[in-house]
Amino acid sequence: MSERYFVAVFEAEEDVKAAVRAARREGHVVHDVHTPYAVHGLDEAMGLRPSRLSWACLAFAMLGASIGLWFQHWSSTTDWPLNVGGKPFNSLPAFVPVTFELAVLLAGLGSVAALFVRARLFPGKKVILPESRVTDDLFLMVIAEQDASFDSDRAAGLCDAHHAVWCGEWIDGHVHRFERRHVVRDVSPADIDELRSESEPPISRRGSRLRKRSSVPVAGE
Amino acid sequence: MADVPIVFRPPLIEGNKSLADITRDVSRPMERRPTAMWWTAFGASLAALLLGLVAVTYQIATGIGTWGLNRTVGWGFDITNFVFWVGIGHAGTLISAVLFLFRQHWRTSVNRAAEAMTIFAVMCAAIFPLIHMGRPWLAFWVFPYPNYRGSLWVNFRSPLLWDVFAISTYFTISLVFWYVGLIPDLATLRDRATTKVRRLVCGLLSLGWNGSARTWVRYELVYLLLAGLATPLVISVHSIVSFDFATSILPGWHTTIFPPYFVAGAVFSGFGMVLTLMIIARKVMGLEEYITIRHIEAMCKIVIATGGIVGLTYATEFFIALYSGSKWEYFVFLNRAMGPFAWAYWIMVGCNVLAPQLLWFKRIRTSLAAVFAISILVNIGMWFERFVIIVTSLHRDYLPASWTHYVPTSMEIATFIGSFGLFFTCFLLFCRFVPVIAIAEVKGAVAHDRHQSETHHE
Repeated sequence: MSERYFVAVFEAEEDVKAAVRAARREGHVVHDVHTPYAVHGLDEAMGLRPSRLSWACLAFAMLGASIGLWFQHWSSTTDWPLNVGGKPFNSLPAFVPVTFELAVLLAGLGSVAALFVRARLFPGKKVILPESRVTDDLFLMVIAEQDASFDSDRAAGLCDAHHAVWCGEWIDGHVHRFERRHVVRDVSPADIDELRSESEPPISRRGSRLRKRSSVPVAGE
Repeated sequence: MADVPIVFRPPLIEGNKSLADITRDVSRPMERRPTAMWWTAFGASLAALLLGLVAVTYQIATGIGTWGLNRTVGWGFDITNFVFWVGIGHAGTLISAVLFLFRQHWRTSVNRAAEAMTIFAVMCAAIFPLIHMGRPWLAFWVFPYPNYRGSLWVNFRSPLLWDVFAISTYFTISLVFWYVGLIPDLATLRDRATTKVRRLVCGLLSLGWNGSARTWVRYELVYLLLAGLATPLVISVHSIVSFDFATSILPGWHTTIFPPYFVAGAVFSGFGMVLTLMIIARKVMGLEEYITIRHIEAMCKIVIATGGIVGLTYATEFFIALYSGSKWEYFVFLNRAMGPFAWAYWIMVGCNVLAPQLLWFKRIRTSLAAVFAISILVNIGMWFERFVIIVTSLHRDYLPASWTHYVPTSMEIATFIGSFGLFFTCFLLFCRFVPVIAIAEVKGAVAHDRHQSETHHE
């Protein structure tokens, strides 16, 4: 079975967030969004569940503390009790620092290991994306085309309405970009600010195919 | 809404940068040939490191009789330097973890370099107890491992053993925290790499990072967890270092104020070093628009606050010594301020309590030269603080017949210089091969800034 995705690339986090919301409203399944930094509010827009990795952290912390406390107790009272300055063999308060350090050590290493396992991060993993600038300055939205009824023209219109830089289909690793009439690429944030602050209705900056400008969200929505 | 007063903060970074600008500006120093200034600094650091290597080799071959220690003063330069370097490291964790928990967005410009500083400082610190063991090839004896002697376990009641666990945990967690923070930036470097080697190395280290929102959510949570873990960790580490002293029955050491006193002093000295390094790094690496006067000022304010805590501790310690009625305490503190090491005591007070007071003035906080000079004074003052605590408490003990003086030998001084060599060599290599500024974090903070000012406009 072939893997078919609809992909769209944006230049601003507001655009990609609004596009994700709109796409989900239309009933599309947002497969993933790739961003150069952690975009706050995107998880909410995508409807992602909060991560449960904090439980892994807690479990590892308790494991570290238990091992630390048990080992100190066992070695000092059972395996080889040694009289150190007349102190009791089970010097519980003296065992607190090492117990704490082991709890922190295992919790830290364990949560990072859990992250790597859960997010499938490992050395040698190949990165295959239709846009290589997602680690630099672009935002990529990937929509799963679940069945033949997927209307890619309509999806393209939706992305254009949210100022997509380009959009297209990504089928079995091959990208087919959709034709555009005219694209304004190099817009600096200053220009965008200027455009947005104008009282006139937003100007069609990137040659949109959809004419329904009223639905375009403005920054800071 | 029009009546709501809006306070405009200066932008986090200057020059209204786009995302691509940030990537380019931070990556550029790594992608071009190093400057003459870098080579000069690297040469000098390497020379200091080589001097240290020669000194350490000689000491290990001959024994620690090459040091100026004697039967009365059993700890001198070595433990002073150990505590000094561990303390330096603490500002890195404070910036990366505590300021993260407090949502201080300005930290994004300096946290990467500060964390690197932590790692290198802890490496420098570890050298000294290692040599002091006398037979460093048996250093693994400090860990409880099954052995043919019983098994004979380590003594878990000893603060020196707590130190082993605290420092090694601190080093490991700092390294992991630093690496986790680096992963998205390594992916950025991988994707803009022009050479095969760079693409391969960054590709392997970035673990196939693709900026997926699902991964970002998990990543941010783990980053928060690590910050939450590192915060009590950093407090525990210097508390445990202070236990080395506080749990002994020696006037001047045996006080309950030691843990908070050491932690505040560590943060204070660490920020002194961060300021020194950042003022140099922004100049040498051309990152003036990222590490701005606003960042320098914010760090100066932390220096005033922690310097105030340190000053208060000095006063409290002295007052309690006089007020307690313990004649041993009384003697040790008068001996500190007026005995043979009075010069060291007053250098400490001058550099740590008086010099930072100048930072109350905005004109001084915004003058790079003045801040640089004060940061150097703080470094010197905090080194002398440890020297005063260790040597003045030891050199005149309960038995006047064993009173003596302590003078470091050339070997000890060479080792200390060598530790600076190691620190700066590592730091310069870091500036060369790793993004000095957390690219992804700065992008996030700038977007947040811009977003807020836009919502204010509307």
